[in-house]
Amino acid sequence: MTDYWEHIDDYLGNKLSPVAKLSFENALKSDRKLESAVENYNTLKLISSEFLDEEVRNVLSKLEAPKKGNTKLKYVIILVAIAVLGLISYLYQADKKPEILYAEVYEEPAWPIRRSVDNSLSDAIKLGMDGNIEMAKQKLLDSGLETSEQQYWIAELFASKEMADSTLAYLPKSWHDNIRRDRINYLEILSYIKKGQNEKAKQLIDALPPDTDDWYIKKLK
Amino acid sequence: MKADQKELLRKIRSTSDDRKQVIEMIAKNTELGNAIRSYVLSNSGSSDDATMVFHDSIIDFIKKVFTDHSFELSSTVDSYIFGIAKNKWYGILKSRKFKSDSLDEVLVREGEETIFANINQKEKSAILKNVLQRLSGNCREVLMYWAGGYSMEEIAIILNYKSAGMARKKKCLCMKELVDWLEEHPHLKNELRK
Repeated sequence: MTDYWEHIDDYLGNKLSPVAKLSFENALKSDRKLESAVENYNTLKLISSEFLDEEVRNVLSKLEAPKKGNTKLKYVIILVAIAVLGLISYLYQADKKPEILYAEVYEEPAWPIRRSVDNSLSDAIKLGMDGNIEMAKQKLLDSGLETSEQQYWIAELFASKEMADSTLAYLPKSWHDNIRRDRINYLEILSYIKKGQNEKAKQLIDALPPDTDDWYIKKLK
Repeated sequence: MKADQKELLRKIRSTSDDRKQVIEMIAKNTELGNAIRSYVLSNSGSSDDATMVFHDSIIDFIKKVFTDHSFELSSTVDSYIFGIAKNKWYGILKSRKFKSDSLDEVLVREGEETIFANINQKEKSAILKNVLQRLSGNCREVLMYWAGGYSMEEIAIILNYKSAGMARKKKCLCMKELVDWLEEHPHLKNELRK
């Protein structure tokens, strides 16, 4: 039995013999679907040719998809980076609290006043307060003051400039009275706070002599 | 024509897997992609325009090779596709300018035109997907090669049928399925002609 569907191309390409053509046209009259295929031949071919277009687009879209994915990944990385920076900034600010504490807790000493006879101490302090720390230090070391007294005032000058290491280096290990002792302990604790060594500062606060002046206790605790 | 170019054309006319290799190779050719991008961007186009032109040029090239069996390259693949891209972009610019001049609403019209163009492509893809869902195994390939002017002998070799007769029977079966689909969607006959 003839399958006329196999002859559609030849019929429309005018390649059938007259007998076969007549037979095909008779079949068209009785087969509605075959007739539709002939009527819509160009549309069928057009749809079929679009399959190639679709095939190429599919390949291209699959190549594009990872790029779009990468863009999303970039946004995620940026968001994570912002979050991390925010956290670092927060921790940095938290870490800086001791510095703020130093400024809040530090109180200047009773600086020596100018006398009519010997002004070497007050002159050196003035130099230091004006920013000439090295000259002030040298002037104090050249003065006739006791060594512990020289060291104490040099330490006070460094403490006023928040120079913790230098302060600790010059703090005297002996003192004449409890007032000076309390002040030296106070400067030592502040220096460790300034250095960020809060644990060490806490240990020193806990180890303060029981008769330490209340003013220092309140200030430090 | 160089041997590698002949091989490239052969692959385009061969199986889907071979063709896929060629499409990927061209799409990943950054030198060509950048040349088209530079051309489009330096001629009033956007980055999206450049991607669209690049992809459409690849499609046109593949279709040309697939359907024109005697086609041979007289230059390199890159310069041929770049030529397609230039003509394509010139046509788009001309069309946009015509529309903006005639309507005197440059920005609004251009935006609408882009949206319509995208919708048409999306609709077209949706319709084709719908057709393909209806067709049985291998019908997409058989009909695609048939529409591309391949003989039943060639289709049998490419798609691994035992004979040209088997390929012809498969083509008839697929064509009947496609006619059925078309009869069910008479309003879409014209849509696909766009």
